[in-house]
Parts: sequence; structure tokens; C-alpha cells
Amino acid sequence: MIFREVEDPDLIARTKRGKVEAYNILVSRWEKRIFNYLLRLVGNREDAMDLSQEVFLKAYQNLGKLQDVSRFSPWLFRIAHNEAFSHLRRKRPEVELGSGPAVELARPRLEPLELTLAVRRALGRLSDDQREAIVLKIYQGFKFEEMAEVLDCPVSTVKSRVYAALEVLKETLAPIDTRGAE
Amino acid sequence: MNCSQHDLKGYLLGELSETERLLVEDHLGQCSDCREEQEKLRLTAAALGSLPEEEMPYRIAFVSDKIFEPRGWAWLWNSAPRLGFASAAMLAAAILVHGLARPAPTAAAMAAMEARVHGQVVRSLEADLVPVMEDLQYLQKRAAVNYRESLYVGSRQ
Repeated sequence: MIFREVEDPDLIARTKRGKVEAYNILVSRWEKRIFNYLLRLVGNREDAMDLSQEVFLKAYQNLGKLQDVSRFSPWLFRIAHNEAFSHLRRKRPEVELGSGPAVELARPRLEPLELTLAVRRALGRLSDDQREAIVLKIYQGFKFEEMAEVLDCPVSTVKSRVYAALEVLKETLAPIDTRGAE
Repeated sequence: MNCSQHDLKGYLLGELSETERLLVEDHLGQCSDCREEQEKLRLTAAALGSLPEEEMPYRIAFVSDKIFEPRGWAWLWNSAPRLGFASAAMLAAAILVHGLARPAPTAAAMAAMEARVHGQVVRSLEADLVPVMEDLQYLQKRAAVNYRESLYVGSRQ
């Protein structure tokens, strides 16, 4: 017997027919990626967890509106993006998101590896828009076109955010010897 | 073609077409400044890649709860099994309603029914008692005959 993993579109179709179990499988496939994406944006595990639940609840309630099921991933990250930036606006409304000075990310626990700390500090120096662009590109592996879909902006904007972020990160991280960490 | 025309970041991120990628690689073979820049970008990406994915404190799970359901009745009509189940439920409900809607028996009907039952019980008991009573009468007659015979024998002696 050849085992074939159920594809996301099948699970989405079953969820639309009211099968909560199918949606739970979908959640289990995506929850860690969404959680880490949110964690790297908001910098707090509890907030990232709460936001993750909100994301999947909203996705469930709005799944009927998703016409092209092959675009589930960017659609889900679009919801996560909206949740994250609403949260950041509530947390620090005085800062204009995307253009203001970057805020150092709060870390609930210490990591033993200095490199990990250095990377987190470097990411904390970026603006929210730049950090999100790096997270989507480097950690989530999206192409520029997909990122434009998630962020609802032109590809040229995505590209300039990623490139500007890399310039900032390069100044801090390029001198670090990463041979022990790879 | 000068150095600024080569998209080293796009090359690093895998966003270039095959033609663009080959042009960059050709240029890197000739330009030490760009090789140095490319190495810095590579080290930056390597450092970023060292950040581990974090585990979730707990898993997210959904249960069947009506408040989460976007549409109620719409789902009912979306599948044949659901429709079949709904038909069976409606049939069961109709039977139940019919049973409950039947008129309750009146007191007179109940009394007549009790009288019929009582009569049947009495007749049944009488039928069972007849042979027993006949046996008893026979035994009483036999006892009387025996008594008279014993008196007659006693007088002869």
C-alpha cells in the first residue's frame, strides 16, 4: 500500500465541509512556522502564542473566503502579519511602525550560545518592516512575489526592505565566526 | 559592466534567473571586491541561519464548537451523509410526534378495559377450580360412605 499524505487543499476542502479534525491537522502543520514568525516579530513567547491562536481562529472563520486554496500559505501569513502589526501598534502606539527606530527585542530567557544572542540583538536593531522581511525571506523561505502577497505591497518594496535589512545585519554579523554554529 | 549592476544579495537569496546567476558567478571570478562583499553576505546569512526555531509552549487544537463555525445550516446540505442523517432524524421526530399526539384513553374506556380483564381472570379461575371442586366433592362422598360402613360393621360385632 502506498501512503499518500493528505494535501493542504484536501484538508481545506474538508474543513469547509465542517470537519474540525481536518483543520486540526492543518494547524499542526503550520502552527510552529506561524509561532516562530510571530515570535521573531513581537519578541515575546506568550504574546506570540496568543497571537498564533488568534491567527488560526480567524483563518478558520474566514476559510470560506479563500478562493485559491493553493495560496493558503501566503493567505495564512497575511492574517499573521495583520495580527502582529495590530499587536505592535497596541503595544507602542507612539512609534510609527516601519519607519521609527528599532526597539530591542525583549527576551524571556537567556540563551547559552553567544551567537544566538548576537543574531537576536542584530534582528532587534532592524525596524519592524525590515525584521519581518528578513523573517519571511530567511526563516520562512518565501520568494519575493509571495512576500508581496503576504505584505500586500509591490515586489520592489519587499526587495528594498530585505536588502536594507541585510546591509544593517551585515555590519554586525559578518565579522562573527559562525563555523562552530553550523 | 560595473560592480553595481550585479545583484549580489539577489544571488545570495536565490532570487536571480539562471542567466543573471551565471553573470554574477562570472563576475565574482574576476572581482576581488565583490568576492569580499559576497563573503560578508554569506557569513551574515550563516549567522542568521544559526538561530534555532523555538518550540511552542503548547499545541493549538480546535474542538467542535458552534461558536467557531462560520455557517450552520449551510454545512448540513453540503454532503450526502449529512442529508441522510437529517432525513433519518426527521423521520424519528415524526414518529415521536405521532406517538405523543395520540389521544389519551378516557376514564370510561379505562373502566371498561378493567372490567374486561377482571371478567377474563374470573372465568379463567373458575375453569381451573371446577375439576378441583369435583375432586373435593368426590372425596367428601367417599368419606361419608366409609363412615356409614364403619358404623354398620361395628353394630354387627
